[in-house]
Amino acid sequence: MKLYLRMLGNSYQQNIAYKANVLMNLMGQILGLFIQISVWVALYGGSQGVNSNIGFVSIQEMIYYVILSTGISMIIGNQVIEQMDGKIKSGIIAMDLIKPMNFFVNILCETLGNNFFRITFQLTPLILIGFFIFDMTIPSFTNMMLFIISLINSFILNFIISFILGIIGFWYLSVWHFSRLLEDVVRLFGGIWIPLWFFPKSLVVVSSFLPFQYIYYVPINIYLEKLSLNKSFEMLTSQYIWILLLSGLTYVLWRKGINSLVIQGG
Amino acid sequence: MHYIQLYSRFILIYLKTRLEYRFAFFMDILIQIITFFVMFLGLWIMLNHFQTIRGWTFYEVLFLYNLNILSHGISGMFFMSPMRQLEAMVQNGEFDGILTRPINPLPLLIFKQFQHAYIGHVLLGIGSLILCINKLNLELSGLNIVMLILVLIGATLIQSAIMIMTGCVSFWFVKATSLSNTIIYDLRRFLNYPLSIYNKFIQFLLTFVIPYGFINFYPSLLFLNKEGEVLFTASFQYGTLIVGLLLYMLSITIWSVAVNKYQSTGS
Repeated sequence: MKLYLRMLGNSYQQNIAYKANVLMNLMGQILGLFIQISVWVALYGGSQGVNSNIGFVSIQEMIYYVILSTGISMIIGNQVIEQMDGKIKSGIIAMDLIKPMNFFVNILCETLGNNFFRITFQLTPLILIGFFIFDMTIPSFTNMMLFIISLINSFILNFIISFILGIIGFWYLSVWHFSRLLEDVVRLFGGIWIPLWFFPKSLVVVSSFLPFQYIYYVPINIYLEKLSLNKSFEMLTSQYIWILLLSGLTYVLWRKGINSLVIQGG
Repeated sequence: MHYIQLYSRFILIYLKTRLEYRFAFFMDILIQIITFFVMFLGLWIMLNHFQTIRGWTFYEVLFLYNLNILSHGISGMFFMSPMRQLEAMVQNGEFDGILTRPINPLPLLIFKQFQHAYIGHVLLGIGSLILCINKLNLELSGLNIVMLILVLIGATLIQSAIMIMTGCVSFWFVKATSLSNTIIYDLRRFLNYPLSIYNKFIQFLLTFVIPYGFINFYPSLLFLNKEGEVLFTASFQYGTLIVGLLLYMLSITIWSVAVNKYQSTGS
């Protein structure tokens, strides 16, 4: 346990070394947020609210949605696919495998270190912007608790999905194809960019068969109190079901991948 | 002439090495197309629900969007990889080798590193532009076609100039990637939507400081007859080629200053 905490700390500190990068990334995030808000304000075109799949949505709620989605991406984002790709291509994975620790946990700790770093240096400014410039409000205590639980689940879900794609690197060399594909699919069906509120019915149906809406769309909806208590619990259950299913898949693929792993030289 | 001959040699070798991994080669291109398809689908979802964004319909926004993709794709094929790798080349001293060759360093860098993934941008950009022209019933007179080609040349020059200038930053600062990422990727995201939806500061920034607006917003006003959307002055609609040429000349000047003051790291 101490060992893993140490790894977490290391990856946190590695990030501090690149201060300029941090600043630039933050600027990129804030620019993105600014673009999104401008786009929604322009789409609403002065009206206070519009009808959607879940009823009336005000421009205020839409702006909160964008801020929440940016914030969640800072909390749950990861570079698992790139990390694993690098380890597999360079052969470092062999060293990781003979170390007396679990590879999965190993990657998880590195990710957590990165994420804690982002939470301190990127999320904090975002929260300040959200609350002081856009007057965001905190939901009721129940919803806040449900939000935190669902956020933890979406972190796990996102991590597992990335890990699965990382494993594909055992067989397929250009893994960035998959990471890009995942990014695209999550951007659309996860509801990072456009809430599923505005999707046509057919795409809502497609999305309900996919795990991606549980990563962004569900936590945001819980925060914005758009779901009834029953519906919220239903969504949390779906998150757990997907986590279970995909964990099983991860295990199977990992066994297969490790068995077929060949390290060139050393 | 000599350059063309040389370039065809280089590109042939590049393609031969890449086509060794045929599947990956085509996937590189296909993946770019999928990414943009997802972007289009998203735009469609938005505009299907809201009809217009500040008076721009789906196909108008798509037209705007594709001017950016197409020009970025064309300049990316040639300038993106050299400028991205410049940082590493300066750091490990590889750039010294480039200077000793009997050919101008900028063309040599471009010749050495083609980037096939951008073929996806170009194919998709051309296809979508044709679709938009069709759907919007734009008149395809000889004059319009010539104008479109001139706009594309201007836009490509703007994109290339900005890539060259961000590349030059590596000569002064050791770590430049994050800065060039911000300028090439983050700022260019503003171009996905009409410039008129942003506030005055952004409009000013993207017109006079980093003239990205001339890549797609101003020329779109001309082709789509959007009289109500004039920002600053109506004559900007015709400005793309001029801005492109000026900016490109500026970038070449900066490049030669940078190369002249280049001092090897000595490794």
